[in-house]
Amino acid sequence: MNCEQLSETVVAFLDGETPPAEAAQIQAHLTGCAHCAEEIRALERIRAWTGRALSAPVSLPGSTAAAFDDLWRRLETRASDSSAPVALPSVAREPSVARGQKDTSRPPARRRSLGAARWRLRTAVIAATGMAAAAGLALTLYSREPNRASTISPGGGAAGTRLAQSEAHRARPAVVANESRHGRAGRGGTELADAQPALSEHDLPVPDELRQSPGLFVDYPIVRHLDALRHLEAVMDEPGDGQKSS
Amino acid sequence: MLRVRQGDREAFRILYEKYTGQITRFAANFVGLRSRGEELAQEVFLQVYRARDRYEPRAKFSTWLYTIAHNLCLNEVRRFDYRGKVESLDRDEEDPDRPPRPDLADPTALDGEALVAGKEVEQRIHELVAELPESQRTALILSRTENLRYQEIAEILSCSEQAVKSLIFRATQHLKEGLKGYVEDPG
Repeated sequence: MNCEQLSETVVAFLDGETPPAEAAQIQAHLTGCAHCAEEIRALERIRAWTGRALSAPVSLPGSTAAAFDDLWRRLETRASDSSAPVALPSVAREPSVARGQKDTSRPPARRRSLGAARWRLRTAVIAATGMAAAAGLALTLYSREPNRASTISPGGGAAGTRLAQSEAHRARPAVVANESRHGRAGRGGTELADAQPALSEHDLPVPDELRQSPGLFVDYPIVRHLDALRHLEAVMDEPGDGQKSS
Repeated sequence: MLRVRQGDREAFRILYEKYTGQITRFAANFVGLRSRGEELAQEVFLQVYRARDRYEPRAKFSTWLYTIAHNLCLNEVRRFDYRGKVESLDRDEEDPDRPPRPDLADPTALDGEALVAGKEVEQRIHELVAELPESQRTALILSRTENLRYQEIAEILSCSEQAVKSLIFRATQHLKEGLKGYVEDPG
């Protein structure tokens, strides 16, 4: 063992963390090397000073029993007051909760705040998709008016006629929803009118499960689209509606 | 700890009394402020009780405890800047007239000059420890104050024994560099 090798392992040697064979090599080197012997004496002093400086006893405020009583009160208070803010440490190597298993380790307040955050996020997503669908439908219906449709499309007159002719096949929600999902609803009524013959109710049937239990599907954006579209169409069909009266 | 898992207050009290001094000292050394160390120790035991269901009996309790303490201290120093706020743990703010501890270098030296030198060294060590990277700091504190083996420190830090050896070596080199003026061989 040379001086460089020794300097890298000498701290572990002083801590008693070197294997016996290596420790014997270090000892042998130290007997014949004044420089390393001096080095190890300096490190021994530093080691002792550090131990003493860091090991100074820390007196607790008041008695330990009183401190524990205070701690227990805090535990009881937090347990009974689930709305109290709880700081969670990042405890290393804590077992993670398996997928599908409820995380009962989190305090109730924390679980509730996560649930609220999820609910807000879901609401925002549904609102955003609903607004997108409504905007698409509004554009579609706007372009349905013959005089306006002509301003949208160069061949607007013909398109307007086709739209009028297909009034009997009013845009079925599923079709419009499908269009809006693919970002095509905003392009005007012409494309919608062209698409209608190919997308009949037979092509896009509403599943029986959805008819029977719509409540099960409320979280799917398509159902929101359908609701929004049905509502808007109902509004448009009301007597006194501008489109109807004209 | 198994009794604590059942919610046994008395068992928890025994654990608290046994370990609170060590944890307070560790936290105070880590953040460099005794007053905050005491508060952090209370937080550690709050977490211990709340996480008692997650303690696995095959793990040594002190290892688990120091792991929680280490993580809380990490959170603490990352949230607040403790640089320049280091204080000697031996300093008694409530009683400034209390006689200081004997010289670190030579416990038998009791003359005033040696005492002042000892206090200086101690303060310097606290400053140097505060400058260490977090893992080096934890490894050094646990090794020097609690005499933990490298293997146990490795479990607390989730690293290898070889990594702990390196952390303590580098921390010691830093101290050696910072204590150059004090460390000359008197002989």
